[in-house]
Amino acid sequence: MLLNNNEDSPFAYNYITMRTSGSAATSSSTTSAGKFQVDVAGITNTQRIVSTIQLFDYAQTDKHKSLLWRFDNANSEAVATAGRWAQTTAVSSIQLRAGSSTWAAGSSFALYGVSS
Amino acid sequence: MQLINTVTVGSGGTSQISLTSIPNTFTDLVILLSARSNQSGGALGMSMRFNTDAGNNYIVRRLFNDGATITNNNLSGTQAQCASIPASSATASTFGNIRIFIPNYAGSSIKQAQIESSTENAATFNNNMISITHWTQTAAITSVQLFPDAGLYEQNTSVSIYGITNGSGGATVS
Repeated sequence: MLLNNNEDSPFAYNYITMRTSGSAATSSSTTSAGKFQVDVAGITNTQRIVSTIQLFDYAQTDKHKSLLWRFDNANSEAVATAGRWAQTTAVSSIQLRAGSSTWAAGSSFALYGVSS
Repeated sequence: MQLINTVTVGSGGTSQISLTSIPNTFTDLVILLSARSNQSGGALGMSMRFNTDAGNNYIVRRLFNDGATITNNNLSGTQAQCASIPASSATASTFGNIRIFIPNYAGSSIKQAQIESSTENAATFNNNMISITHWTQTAAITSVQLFPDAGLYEQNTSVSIYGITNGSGGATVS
């Protein structure tokens, strides 16, 4: 995932991930990356991912942008990521990519705003 | 997000909360619970079924910690053991918080539910969990059954179910 189409420079994406396959739990961290990147191992081309991303204070210009990201498939893994985009620019666009592949037909994406 | 129904458990408790007559007019469902069981012990599991289906049609992968140990399970069975709630030995008035997200609940694909639950009890009987449930059926979800794995939901346990409708800003790959 990219914010404001920022890929690579200035390498502002930092995130930590925990995951379980049901038989093994692992943790990882990534700093100064060119994108937010999560994956689920072992998924087949007929299965679907359930993913929710909560992006906080997206329009604030005095904060780095932080998020909580669930990315799951019940046949393979449950994954939770916490991330920070080390930029104070307001988020005006979000790019979601299927790695080097393409999103399958029927994949759906919805964006919601939450007001206090 | 539009409220569909709220259930609050009254005096005497109940062994199950059933959310019925869910309309097929939304895109996704969100269920929020504040729950506690009267079962002995500090915490116990909570389960879910769809459309009262008690067949061997549920798969759950979950990861949870109690403040000291991280545990993960791969479960399959006749119910989705997908969350944890406080039980009778937990601090009085302590309820667990649970969020269940069910995308495309009215569609014809196999259903999945994404769940987070948390129980904080001052260093004992703590439990935080993430889980993903897979219901291997393609029927539209018209009801959801929620129940503690033993005992009853205590009085003042509350459940609300919301419907989410996609706006024009979404996208579907064709």
